[in-house]
Amino acid sequence: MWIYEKKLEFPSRICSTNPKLAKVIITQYGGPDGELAASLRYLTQRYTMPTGRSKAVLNDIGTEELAHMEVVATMVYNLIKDASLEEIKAAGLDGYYADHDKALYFVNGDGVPWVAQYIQSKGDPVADLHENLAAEQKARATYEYLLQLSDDPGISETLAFLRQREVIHFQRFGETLEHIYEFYNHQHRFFMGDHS
Amino acid sequence: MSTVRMQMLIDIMALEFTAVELNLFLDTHPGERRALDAYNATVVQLDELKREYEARFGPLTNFGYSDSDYPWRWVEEPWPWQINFAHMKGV
Amino acid sequence: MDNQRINNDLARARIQIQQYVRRWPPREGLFRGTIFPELYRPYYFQPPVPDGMPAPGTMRARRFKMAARKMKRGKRHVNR
Repeated sequence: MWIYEKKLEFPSRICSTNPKLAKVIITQYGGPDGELAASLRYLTQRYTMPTGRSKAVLNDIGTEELAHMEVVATMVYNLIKDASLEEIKAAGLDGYYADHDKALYFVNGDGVPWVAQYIQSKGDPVADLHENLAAEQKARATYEYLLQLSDDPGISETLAFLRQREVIHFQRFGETLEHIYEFYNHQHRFFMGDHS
Repeated sequence: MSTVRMQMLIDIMALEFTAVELNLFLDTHPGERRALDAYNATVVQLDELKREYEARFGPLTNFGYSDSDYPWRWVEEPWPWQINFAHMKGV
Repeated sequence: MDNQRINNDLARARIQIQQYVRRWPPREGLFRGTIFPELYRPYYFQPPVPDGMPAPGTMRARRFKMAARKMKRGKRHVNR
């Protein structure tokens, strides 16, 4: 069960109408290293995590990623909502406009739609956690590229927030990996009759 | 949207963000007493702030987490993506 | 068992476990993206070099650097 809270995680400031910037930021909505991929990846991996702790981490970070998806959507929505048709065309968003008007859709910066192949759910907790550590680093790198492309100070502030969250999530997944190794070590000793 | 309301929202966001951070920390450190005390203290403060906000501006959460005045205030705009904090004055 | 322990030291990733030390107050934490100072990793983007400055990695940039170093050395000498 999820409860919706009628507020964003971060007070997003959007200082410009800027479809050009929207076109690249949308990759964090529906791109390969975006927030949809992140949230769905963790929320679907949580079922087969072996311990209460690892289930909690995947559940909670997956939930926070849903909130990040909403923050990214808010940026894109506000960057294009007042754009003229001329600005849409100049930004190279006319193809997007033909399919979606100014609605939000899950695509990367080049309009390629989101696919489940972006994510994996392997059933092996060590493999899954490594995928998640990599996912956090890829998302961090993407936010850095977006920061390089951003000419809106409000947007940059929000991108920096989201980027820092990737660093925190990386740490939590890493700590979970340590915990999983310890858990398996303990189980191994148990099966070998060594209860120390 | 009024500056007062935006300021209240930011205060709620800030406290809830502290709760998110402590929550994730506790997920990997369930035995850390000081973090747990800090989390529980944050819950009390956050609850107080949310009640105050909801009394003025309507429910923050759906599905039975907060009650509403008549008529059903959940449907009131703005929704979160309609609020641009760049329009807040005097920050 | 020893064999198992050796295997667990190699061919695996390792992350240091964070210790609970101190945290930033709520508003500061929110605007930094974390309440934990020890996990704060800000990204400072170097904006493109303005006109007139040499692009990094070029011969001209190397000459600029050498000239700057010479000037520094000169200053240090004077200070002594």
